[in-house]
Amino acid sequence: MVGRVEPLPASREGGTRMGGEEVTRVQAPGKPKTVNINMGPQHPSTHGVLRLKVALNGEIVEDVECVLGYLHRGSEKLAEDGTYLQFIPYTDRMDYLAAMQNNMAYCLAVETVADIKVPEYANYLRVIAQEINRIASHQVWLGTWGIDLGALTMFFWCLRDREEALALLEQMCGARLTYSYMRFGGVKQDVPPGFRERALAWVRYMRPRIDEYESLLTKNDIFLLRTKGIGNLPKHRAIGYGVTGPMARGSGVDYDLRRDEPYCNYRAFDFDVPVRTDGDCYARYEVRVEEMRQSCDILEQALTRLPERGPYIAPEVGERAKQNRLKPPAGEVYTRVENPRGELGVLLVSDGSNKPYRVKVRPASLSNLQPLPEMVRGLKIPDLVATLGSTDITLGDVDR
Amino acid sequence: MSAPPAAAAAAAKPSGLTTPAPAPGSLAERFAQDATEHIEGPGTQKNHPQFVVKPSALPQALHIARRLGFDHLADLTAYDICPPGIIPLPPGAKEPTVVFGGAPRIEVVYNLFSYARKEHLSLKVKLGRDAPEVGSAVPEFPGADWLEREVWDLLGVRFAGHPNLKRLLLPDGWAGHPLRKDYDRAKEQFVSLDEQTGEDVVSFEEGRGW
Repeated sequence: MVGRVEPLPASREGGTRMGGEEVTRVQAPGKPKTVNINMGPQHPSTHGVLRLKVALNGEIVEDVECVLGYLHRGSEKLAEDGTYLQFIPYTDRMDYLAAMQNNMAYCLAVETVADIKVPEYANYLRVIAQEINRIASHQVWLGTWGIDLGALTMFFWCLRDREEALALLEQMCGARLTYSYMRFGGVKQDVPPGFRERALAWVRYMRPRIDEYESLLTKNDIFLLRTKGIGNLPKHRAIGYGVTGPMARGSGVDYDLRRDEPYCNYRAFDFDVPVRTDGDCYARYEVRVEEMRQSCDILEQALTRLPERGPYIAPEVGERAKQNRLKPPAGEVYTRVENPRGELGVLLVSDGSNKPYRVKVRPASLSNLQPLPEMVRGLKIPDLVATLGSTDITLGDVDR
Repeated sequence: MSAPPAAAAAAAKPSGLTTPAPAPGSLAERFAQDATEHIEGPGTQKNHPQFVVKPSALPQALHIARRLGFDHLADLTAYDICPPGIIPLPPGAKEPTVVFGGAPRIEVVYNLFSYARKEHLSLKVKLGRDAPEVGSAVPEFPGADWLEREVWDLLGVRFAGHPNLKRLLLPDGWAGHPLRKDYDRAKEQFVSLDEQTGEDVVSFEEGRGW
């Protein structure tokens, strides 16, 4: 069930294919007819259970309508039933490729409403966990997008290197995908001995691997034809649609919450925010690949500066019983963190009891998916696949 | 509105339910001046300045905010404030304490952000729980489209002027709005496939839940 390599589309202006071969479009006699087809909800290149109703004229996409909700589990309603602590495992399952950031976003909201201060050592562990998770998430994106575009090797290479990232996260918290690592005021447990060396070794291993990924794609003619100028999203439309994260940065929005609205202790690290202005699939690709390098930089700084030992959770809320009985004062907060896909916001309303009154998660994927019809109108079916892959959505995040 | 709105309300409300006063010279302060006639009072958001806007004037308030530079609608959501007595309690359960006070209502929250000035502003409208309706934000922020559909889907707030207000996450025809506090989740819903269109159809049928 891997993506079939689509034949190269003729160059978009008509005229010549690569190699100088003349192409003339053959138009069937009579009026062009619009055909409606379903793409998904079970489709390998929708990256989950997304259903697209596509109106096609021949191979030209005339319109797309997204049908959501196939993975809706009602997490926000479930949040109102349990205690604050009991909601953390649900956040893992929203954006399952970036569970650390989801944990973080929720814990940050609770800490803001309850005024909990996080020890420095815990902040380091949080940053390390999130950046490892960010690289792992981008690897899944790059690998699966590679399959969408017919570059199968990308998938093997990315998942090969992600294995060690998951092993590192497993060392931190005991799970490979659904971490539930963050707690209010810190993290669940300290890292085991030898973690620092192993993680540093992985970071040093990863840098040349990212160059290697690029050697497969960046100057590859087929890849350039499939991505350059495809799926354009101009800056003002990106802002209007609430698009955030690497997608917005690919469209020229120079904003990263880690740098501009730092949470944890991101202020302490030196890193660049890659920005491209083209707004096409290729720009988004460049941004994400560069982000992996920047995450390596942050990881290297964090791992070298990580204190030998320290409190990994704030002592006043550290015990398990205290976590479970947490009763923040009444209030409403909106906090946000930078997820691999963009701005992950949490609106938390507390009524002073031990259960959240309302938790609303603002997923980055939902807003990033919304301009899809605008981006693909007039393109061909393979371009729809390429554009959808470049938005890097997780359906667990869209539907919650 | 001449007096700092948050300070005035701080005395009246219990602590924690106050919002910071907009910083002098900030966009939020200019918003408070430009939209004085649309503002009912300060809101309750703890970490960003928030204003309660008259429901009838919400589109104008959003227009003013966007013109001032709040170009990013980060989030649009709502929550149900439903005092004890309306929610059916399981036998033996303790009556919950509700600190928000006031009449039963739905509060719709708009979290705005300015990329140029890196400032937050939150707006809120308070609507009655029976057939709540407010003007749509789609003309100002195209990204509000799905967010409003989600609020309609899960909380039953209608947005006047929305181009395509139908359910986003649940199948069309679902009975009720699950994030309402008095939603009966024991009620069975029956989902079938429409033979003509292939769309999911939901209807409530006694004894035929899924």
